[in-house]
Amino acid sequence: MQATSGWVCPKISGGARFPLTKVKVQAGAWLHDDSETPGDTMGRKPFGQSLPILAWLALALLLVASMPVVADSTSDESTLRNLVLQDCGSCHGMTLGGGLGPSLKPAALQRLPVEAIAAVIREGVPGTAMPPWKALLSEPEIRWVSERLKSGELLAGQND
Amino acid sequence: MRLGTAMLGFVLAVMLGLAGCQSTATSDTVRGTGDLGLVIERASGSVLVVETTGDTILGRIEGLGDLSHASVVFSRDGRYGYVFGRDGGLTKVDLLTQTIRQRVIQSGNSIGGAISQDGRYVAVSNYEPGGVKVFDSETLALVADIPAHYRTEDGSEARSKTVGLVDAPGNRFVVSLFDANQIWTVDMAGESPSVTRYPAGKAPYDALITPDGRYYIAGLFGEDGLSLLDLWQENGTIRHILPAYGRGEERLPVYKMPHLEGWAIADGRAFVPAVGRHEVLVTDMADWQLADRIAVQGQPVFVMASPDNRQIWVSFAHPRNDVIQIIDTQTGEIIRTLSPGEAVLHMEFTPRGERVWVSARDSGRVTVFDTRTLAPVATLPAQSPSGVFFTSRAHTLGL
Repeated sequence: MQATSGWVCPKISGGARFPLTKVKVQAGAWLHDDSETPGDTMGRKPFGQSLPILAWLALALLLVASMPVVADSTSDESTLRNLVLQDCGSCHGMTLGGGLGPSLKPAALQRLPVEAIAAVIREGVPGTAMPPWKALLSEPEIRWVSERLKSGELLAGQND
Repeated sequence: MRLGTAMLGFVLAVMLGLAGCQSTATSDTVRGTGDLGLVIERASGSVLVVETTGDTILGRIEGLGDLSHASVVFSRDGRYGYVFGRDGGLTKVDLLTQTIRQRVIQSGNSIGGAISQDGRYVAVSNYEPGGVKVFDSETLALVADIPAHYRTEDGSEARSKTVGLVDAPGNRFVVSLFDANQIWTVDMAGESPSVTRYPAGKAPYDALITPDGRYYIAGLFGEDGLSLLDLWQENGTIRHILPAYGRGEERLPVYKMPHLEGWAIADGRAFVPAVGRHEVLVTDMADWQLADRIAVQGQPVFVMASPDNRQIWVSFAHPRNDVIQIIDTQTGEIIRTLSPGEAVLHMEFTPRGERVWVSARDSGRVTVFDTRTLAPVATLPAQSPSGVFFTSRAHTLGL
């Protein structure tokens, strides 16, 4: 056995017994779906699947305009910073470099305006593991977090 | 006379030498590792070496990188801990000398790992790039790289994030593919690893293996239910169990993914966290049917049985994560709600279950509870503590 160079292309067996063609997989489509037969999404795609992400973001942006601004910001900034790095970090990584969820570093968010980031935080992304945070965070808090994700300010001082 | 002096000097030197040797090998300085453990300090990239006889901290090892969602497996001699960091770091730490023995950055993003039945291999479950890497547990040299390739519906090839990696009897590893909806077994017994692929339910997010190594069970995020693989069947197939535990009910937001770790079982009934529901599900292992749904105060994250299986301790997702609830397995009732601190992240029972250590991240402490009185018996300061791992895991399948 080679310890250093290693086996790089392992033998794949069982593919014939369990043909993978039977597994219906869509890119990024690990979505909640109530259809009786798992994998059968024909004809009734869940909301998040049938709507392109940009269209969904646009919809979320429309919601922004109609949202009343909640002024009662109860969390102080260090609590919010802790929430982002620790609780968001449980999926996105403590340095926000990604995990189960995508990277939230400024480079990764380059194409998203602050409003779009806020919309994702507020409403979540249907069909993914990203939940809506509007029940837990006020509008000013969401705004505060969105701006600082965009600028990378929350990562200041982290040697990553 | 000169010879006599020389002799005396020689004898003195030998005696001093022996004394020197002895000082490193007296009963005061030699110790076992059976009561040791590691506590992850997730924000500072450090781990605490702890002992459970006197409930104390022995020391801190630093320089382990991003330890959000870090976990540990132990070498079979209970001396070394293999710490799996979020940033792809795999660090082998020596609990006795409290030092880093080896450290490699083996991927961009990882989520946990396992040690093989024979102790020779440490496997890491990677998000980016998606797959499993297997290392020599002695040297941390790469032994196998197994990319989690799968074909998407449009026919293109992609790599899946991998989760729920455990060891299984026969020197195998079992892992779930989050994006590919598959479960793979990786057989390390032959000349090269042999992979067998099984179709599973949608978006397996974590998995566990029963202590007898028979059943591998993956929780599903993409649909209700769990995928169950019977490893005793030579040509096994995946069964979808508890397929409709929340049928017709709106899912609640999940602010933290549940974890499946260890096996909470009593009287032939298994306890698992529901996803998107504030419930612990109970399934009868004879037919894998839903036996009960126990209402709890939030989204359960860890549902862990005490070693005697009399109690199930449940931790919760943000924002209701400042309490632990304890379920009596005989009655299915919640017998106590404890408040160990802010952001309770993990629990670990001592090997025989007289104590449980509970980490409270935002309170910066680990609280040790007596499992009989349910009273706190010790509090240890720690920097943003998350996972607590005792060396007894070295001798438990799947941990």
